[in-house]
Amino acid sequence: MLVLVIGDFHIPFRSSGLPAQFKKLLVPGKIQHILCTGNLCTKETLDYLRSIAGDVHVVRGDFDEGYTFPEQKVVTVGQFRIGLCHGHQVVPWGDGESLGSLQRQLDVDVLITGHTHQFESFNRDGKLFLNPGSATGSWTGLKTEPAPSFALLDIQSTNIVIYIYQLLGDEVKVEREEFRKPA
Amino acid sequence: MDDELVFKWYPKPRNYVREAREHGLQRTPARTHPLASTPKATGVTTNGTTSKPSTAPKPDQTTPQTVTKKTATFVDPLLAMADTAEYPSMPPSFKTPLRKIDGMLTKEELVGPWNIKKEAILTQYTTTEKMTFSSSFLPGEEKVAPIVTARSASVAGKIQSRLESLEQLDNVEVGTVKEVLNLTQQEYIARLDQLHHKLQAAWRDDQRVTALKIAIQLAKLLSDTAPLSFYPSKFVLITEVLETFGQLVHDRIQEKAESGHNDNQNLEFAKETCRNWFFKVASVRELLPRIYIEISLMRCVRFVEPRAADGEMIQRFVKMIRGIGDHLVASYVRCYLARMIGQLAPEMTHQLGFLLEDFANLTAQVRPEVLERSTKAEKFDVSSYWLLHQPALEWITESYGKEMGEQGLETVFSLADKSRNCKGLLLNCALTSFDPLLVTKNPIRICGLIQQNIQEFFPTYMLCRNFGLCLLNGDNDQKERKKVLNEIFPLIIAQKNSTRYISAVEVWTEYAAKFFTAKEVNRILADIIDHLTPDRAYHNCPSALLRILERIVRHLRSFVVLLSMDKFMPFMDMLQQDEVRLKAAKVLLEAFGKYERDDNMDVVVVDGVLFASKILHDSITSLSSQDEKRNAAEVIRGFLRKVDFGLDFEQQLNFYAECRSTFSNLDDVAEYLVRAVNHLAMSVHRIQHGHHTRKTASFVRACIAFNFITIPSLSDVPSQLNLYLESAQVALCNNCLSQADAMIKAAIQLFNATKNELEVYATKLRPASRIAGEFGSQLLSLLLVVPDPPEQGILYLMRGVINTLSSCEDTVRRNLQVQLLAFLSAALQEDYLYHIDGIDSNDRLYGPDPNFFQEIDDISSSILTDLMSTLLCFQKSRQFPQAVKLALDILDTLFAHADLGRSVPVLEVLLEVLRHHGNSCEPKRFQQLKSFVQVRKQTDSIFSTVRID
Amino acid sequence: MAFGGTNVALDVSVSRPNKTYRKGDTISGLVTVHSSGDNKHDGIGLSVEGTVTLQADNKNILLETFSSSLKPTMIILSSFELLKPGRLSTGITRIPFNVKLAPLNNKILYETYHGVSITIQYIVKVEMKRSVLNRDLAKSLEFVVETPENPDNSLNSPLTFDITPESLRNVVESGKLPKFRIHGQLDKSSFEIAKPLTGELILERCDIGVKSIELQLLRVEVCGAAEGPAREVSEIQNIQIGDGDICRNVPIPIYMVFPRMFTCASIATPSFRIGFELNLIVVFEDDHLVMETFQINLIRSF
Repeated sequence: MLVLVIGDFHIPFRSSGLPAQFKKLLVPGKIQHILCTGNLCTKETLDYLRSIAGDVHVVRGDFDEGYTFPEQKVVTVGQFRIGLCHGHQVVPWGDGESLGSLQRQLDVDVLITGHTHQFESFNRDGKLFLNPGSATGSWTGLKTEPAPSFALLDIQSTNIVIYIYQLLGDEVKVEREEFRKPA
Repeated sequence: MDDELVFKWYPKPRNYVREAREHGLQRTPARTHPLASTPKATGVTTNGTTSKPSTAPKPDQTTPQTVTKKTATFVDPLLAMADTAEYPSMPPSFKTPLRKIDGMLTKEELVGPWNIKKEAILTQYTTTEKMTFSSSFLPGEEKVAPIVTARSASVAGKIQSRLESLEQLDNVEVGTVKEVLNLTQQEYIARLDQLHHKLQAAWRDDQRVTALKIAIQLAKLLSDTAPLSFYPSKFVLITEVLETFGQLVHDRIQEKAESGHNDNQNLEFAKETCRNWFFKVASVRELLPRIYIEISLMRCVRFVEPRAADGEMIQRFVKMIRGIGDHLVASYVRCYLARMIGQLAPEMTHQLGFLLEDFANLTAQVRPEVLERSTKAEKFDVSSYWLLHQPALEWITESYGKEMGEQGLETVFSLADKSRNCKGLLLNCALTSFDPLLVTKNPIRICGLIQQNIQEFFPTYMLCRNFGLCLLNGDNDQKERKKVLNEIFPLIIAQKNSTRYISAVEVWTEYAAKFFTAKEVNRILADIIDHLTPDRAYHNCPSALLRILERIVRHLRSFVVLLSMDKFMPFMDMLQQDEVRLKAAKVLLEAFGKYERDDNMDVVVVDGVLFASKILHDSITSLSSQDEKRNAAEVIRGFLRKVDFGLDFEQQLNFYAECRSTFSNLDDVAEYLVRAVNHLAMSVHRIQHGHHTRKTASFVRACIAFNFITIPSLSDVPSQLNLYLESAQVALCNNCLSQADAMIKAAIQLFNATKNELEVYATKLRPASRIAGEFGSQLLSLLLVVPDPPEQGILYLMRGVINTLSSCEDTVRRNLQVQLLAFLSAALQEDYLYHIDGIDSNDRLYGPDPNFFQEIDDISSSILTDLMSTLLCFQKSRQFPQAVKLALDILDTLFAHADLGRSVPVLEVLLEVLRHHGNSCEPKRFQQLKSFVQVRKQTDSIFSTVRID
Repeated sequence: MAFGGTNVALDVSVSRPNKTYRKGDTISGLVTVHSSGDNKHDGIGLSVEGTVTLQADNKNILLETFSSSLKPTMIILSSFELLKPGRLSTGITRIPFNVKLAPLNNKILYETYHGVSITIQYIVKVEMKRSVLNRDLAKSLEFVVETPENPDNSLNSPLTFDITPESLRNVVESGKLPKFRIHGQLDKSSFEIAKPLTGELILERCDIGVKSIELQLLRVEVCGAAEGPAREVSEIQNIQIGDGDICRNVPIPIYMVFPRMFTCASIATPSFRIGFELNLIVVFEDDHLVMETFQINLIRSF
């Protein structure tokens, strides 16, 4: 089961579009689900995601005004409960312990958040925390030139292989990590 | 409650770097990944540890890449259609190579081109004149009543019916004919319908002769051309009945041929029946009904005659029609014949050439003075009279053109050449019926024909227009195009009537735009202005002017080019009605959004687009709906997105400033501007790699100042709050500390002023409490990096937050208080979780300062104490659900951010509450916390002191 | 079931759908008896009859011819017993028959014709004789006889004509006629009866408008001797070939299908004649009309 984790596009306000290198990779027919951390900002971006996979889940980012995305969402994929939240509501932004609080409240195995525009993944107390970064490499106040990135999860029973796609210069760098659900 | 009770908050010291290292997952370069374009063969992995993702495409699957390629070579049929959309009158091919002997209509024929034409005729040719209907089959007048009852008496009075005995020469025409006078068009049509039903009913009752008689009488009605303007419609309606009749006869014979078991004899019987029908019809006295009925029975001929005889029969029909003295009547019989040939004997289509020849030869005999005499009675001018022939003739040429191609076209052209009276009509039919590529093979010849036509009655403007439409799809060389333009344009200029003029010039403007340059288009625009300015004629043709604009923009897409024409803006000025102006603005803006290259920006262009956008913007009033506003804002934002002055940031900012004043009605646009200006500042920041020069620094300050002014003009508070926060971050990034402060202060003040009125902006998914909570938490996360200037006092912005909390709604306040504990814990760390490049946050400013620590300590403890006393209150008043929720929230934060070893008193109270009521009030969350403690115990010994069960 | 009897229906049919036969043909047919019960009969007979009836109702006719006209002349009479007396069981009984079509001695087979004063008719008649208590039953069916001949092509050439005010006979006031000229032709003088009459005409000139151009087909029946023949002329078809003011100098077709019921191949015998005439009628705008008559011979060939 392939799950695309992507978000923080900020098109057109902070970026003119998804990097061509990413578009080339993201072709229809491969990915089953998309979990989007928000800040799509325009309908075109949402339509684009829907063209890649039929099942698209989006939560509201701080700049998704006017869209009816929920603030938080829990999606079950295989044996994993996956929580999704943009993350601008977390104090301080991206803090591992604070995210742990949110993870406990949502009662999920995997918590996906965005907002910091910085790819991050860690295992705390047997839970997976994942931040796909910004797909367009848009600036934030904290990070003026982030590398564009997204993640792809290959979920097999109790195992998740995380593929990390980052655009460094003109090259897409792909790395992998593994997470296993504790028994 | 014990007044002395104080709970102290002891934050947990954090080492964020170490945490990241400890909890981080092991990352390795991926040798392969699921999105790789060429998947490696399964099972072949270079090292055993890499597991193959299960969903990687199998080698035998077509990779998506190839799929995309395939689809790319596809010509989208809809797109292909769009190119020929100019020729709606051109029906799709209706060749029917395989026809069964039964002559049944194929589906394509039933819904095909004739039906389109039919509808067009019925809408175009109507009358307000009174008509007379004659038939011996009209039911008693008391039954014929599509008339309103109130009027029926007087109408009935007017109806004269008289008996008229006919010569008994002809057994099928025996009967008494009733004439109903003074019928309106609707009433007339109602009677036609009645007879249609009556014919079908008679047939069902085996009254075949009656059915035939009805058909004959209806066909006879076609000999009366009055009122002229209704005649084409009358033809359509009546031939529809005749078609029903032909089909009924055919089906009946078919049935006879197929019924029973003795095939041969049945066939003989069927043939005999068929011959009987033909004998009967052949004896119909009057020529016109006889021809119509004979043609309508054409589909039955195969029962008795070999196919080979078709040609002879059609020849006979062609010649018989010459016996019809009235040219209009004859034209429509020809049309009917052409239709039946198309349906039943398409291989005979070449015979339509004879019909056209007859038309051309016979109409040449018409003397204008005679025609004028006959049309005068109906106040019809001669030119309109000839136009009545058009639908019929056009149908013939269309059918002919499809089969005959170039040869057919040559026939029509040479007929037009020789024709008197109908040169233009024939030419026009050629233009609308044949493949434009063929028609335009010799454009100069057509120019000649059009010029010759001027002597005649056919409207030149229509020829010019249709010729132009052909040329747009033609394939001529540039020299020819130029010559054609020079030949035709004077004819258009000579048009005096502005409606006719504009109809022709519309197409030729596109011709110029498509094949020539802005210079030629400009000349035409100048002429349009000259033509339409007197008497403000442009008032009468707003939609045509709009179409001209669309046609120009279709080819001259660039604003640079459009605005290089000095007549363009004067032309736009002729679009005066608001609605049309708005549409025009949209056309321009959409074209701009779609086609304008980003690097093609100059002041002139931007002015032009601003002009169009302003029209759109000004159309928005207080009465406009939200949708209209959103739409307008959408289009304008599309344009703003395009306007990019590259490295000329100053100009970009000036442009935004101009937009701000121009589009003041639209919040969405103002919001866009704020965000665009933030992005502009960040772009400068990026280019400067974070190190501003004096000039760039002042530019960035100007940006922030721009936003500081713009944000308050918005009416949506949540947007304002959000934009303040974004702008504050941009200010911080760019080292504009005091402006960042100002932004944050403004945000806090705004929040304070509106926190209890946020209900207005709430939605189902986002209640007011969420709006407030979200702002609060975002503000806190941001405040972590905002350095407190010593002169303002430590944490003075946060104090502001705390001050506003006191008057907040309870749940909002408690949630923020809990978050404040997290914030304060983070603020006490030696090295903060995040920083802004080039900004020293409080950790670096006040790191070793005990006053700073003390201050935070005091605040956090008082917040904790406040929360705890609330909890105890809940407990005392036995509000256990509230108590449990709050206890869980505090405990959660405690686990996350506090030093548990020193927090025993707090823990005791919280666990006490939870032990008693946790399971009953929030079992799930309580359970979740318990298992978390179990897990944590293994890594963090301090958790073993938490006796939660 | 009326008293004691059973309902019996008798019918006769022939195998050819158009019921048309020629000399020497065998008429195959079927006699059908529908019987609602047991039916006793005294034999079923079948006869084929052909008659010529002349019915001249004209004062000029001599008495003897008149009297002879009252009695139809029998051309064919053949009868035979189809079924011997006996019983027919309940239900439908079908009895096929075959009769060769041949005239009586010294008689000629003429074509079927129904005119005003001349009728030539052929019938098949079936008769069931029954006992005294029941009426005999009879049923007859008319069939058509055609007598094709080998055409004499030498006499059959196109017939051209020109009509002008000068060419007209019987004109009372030729001065009142407009100047006109019609040129045309009939493709033949003898027309195959089963095929349409064809030709064309051209209105070469006409000073005033034309209202209608019509073709009128007439039949001429002549009965009796040469000294005082009784001539009966009747219109059998009138069709329009030009409606309104047709164009000048454009050929328009002359085309007419001979009506089956009222025509036969032209016949000339010592006692009667059947012939045909075609009138071409041009009606002018002012309702004046001119007419040209053509004698036409109808033939039927093999």
